[in-house]
Amino acid sequence: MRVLANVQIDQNKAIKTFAFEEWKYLGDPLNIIRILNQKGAQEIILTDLLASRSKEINYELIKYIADEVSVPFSYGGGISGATDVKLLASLGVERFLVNSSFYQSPEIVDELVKNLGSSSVSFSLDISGQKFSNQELHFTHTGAKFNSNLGFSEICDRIRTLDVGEIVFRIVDVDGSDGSRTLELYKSFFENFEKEISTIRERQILIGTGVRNVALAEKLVNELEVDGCVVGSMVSFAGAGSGVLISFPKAFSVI
Amino acid sequence: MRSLNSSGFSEHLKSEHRSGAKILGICLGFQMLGGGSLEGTELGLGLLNGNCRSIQDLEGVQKKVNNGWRNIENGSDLGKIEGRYYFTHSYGYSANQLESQNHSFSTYRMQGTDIVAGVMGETIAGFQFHPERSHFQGLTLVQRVIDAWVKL
Repeated sequence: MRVLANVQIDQNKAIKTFAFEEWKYLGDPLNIIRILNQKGAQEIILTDLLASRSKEINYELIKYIADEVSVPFSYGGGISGATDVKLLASLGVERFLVNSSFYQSPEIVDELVKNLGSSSVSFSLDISGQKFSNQELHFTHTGAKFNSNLGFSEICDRIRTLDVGEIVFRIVDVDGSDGSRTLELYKSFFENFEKEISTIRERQILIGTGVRNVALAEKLVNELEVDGCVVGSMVSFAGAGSGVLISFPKAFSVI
Repeated sequence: MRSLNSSGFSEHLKSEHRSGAKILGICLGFQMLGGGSLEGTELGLGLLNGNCRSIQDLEGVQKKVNNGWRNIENGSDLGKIEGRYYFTHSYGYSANQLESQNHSFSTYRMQGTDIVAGVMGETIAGFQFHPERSHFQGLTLVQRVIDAWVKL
């Protein structure tokens, strides 16, 4: 199964968010990524939460990081067109995560897929709330904090039309949590929208929040029949406590 | 392919290959070595006798995209490819297409179907996966290809 390590940044600081609202400072992103790489992380993702608001991509940091990483490296945050993508690709970024632009400017996503292929474009689908009925569903663009007007089946239609190759489901409430509600909430979402999800199952499907430990990651992949998980807290904190300790679980390591 | 053709690089590659140059293709570069791909309309370089198609068109495969690390299932002698490498692709060669070829090839298994992972020959090598993104295993493999070719 795929397990991707996600490092979030705010300017030049690595952080870990909680429900994408609060955050804790982790340290120097370059150091953290160097450690993850040495520990055999399968893939590394860098996400800049605020870049879509500020419209500024931290190219200098991305360049240093891309030079350190010897596994696939994805980036998300503030990608607003072909010029950004060209520059990011030249620095060594291989997959591009989209979130706000999927709702606000799908033509950017369309162009990305046409130029780079489906397998290089990943869409982070943020779901807020804990009740997953059609009336109460909210899809949030995390950075810009907008609610989307689209329903889930319209989102699935758009995923297919744009031919996005990878979808990361992120239930906002369990981001950075101890994981105790993760399985229950994702199961409830996947059960309520089984029909819609079946229309995008031919793509890569990942679970992107609240995957606190190895056993939970395995359970999610088996029970939801998805391809893998994106993890943050699991690789940032020691045990059940909140002391910062960067690691990558041996069970999923590539070395 | 279009830009390789218009820049004259396709011809250059073919003529270098005819005069004995060895060529290693990675990912799309591997797909370009074949006769063509259903992904586009241009012909490939024709240095391998196979064509690429969407992996979803292969019997048993439901996924459109393969992203992630996969084990190489089997392979034969010259520069045997073994281990686990990182793949990211939607098109590829099916195993039964390359079977009659004069090269040894290795496969990985996706949803029960064998898809070509790489080809090793005396003058042509190609990898569907990314050795440059497969940690030290990837670099070791590229070094082995070079060493095997130098010895020939």
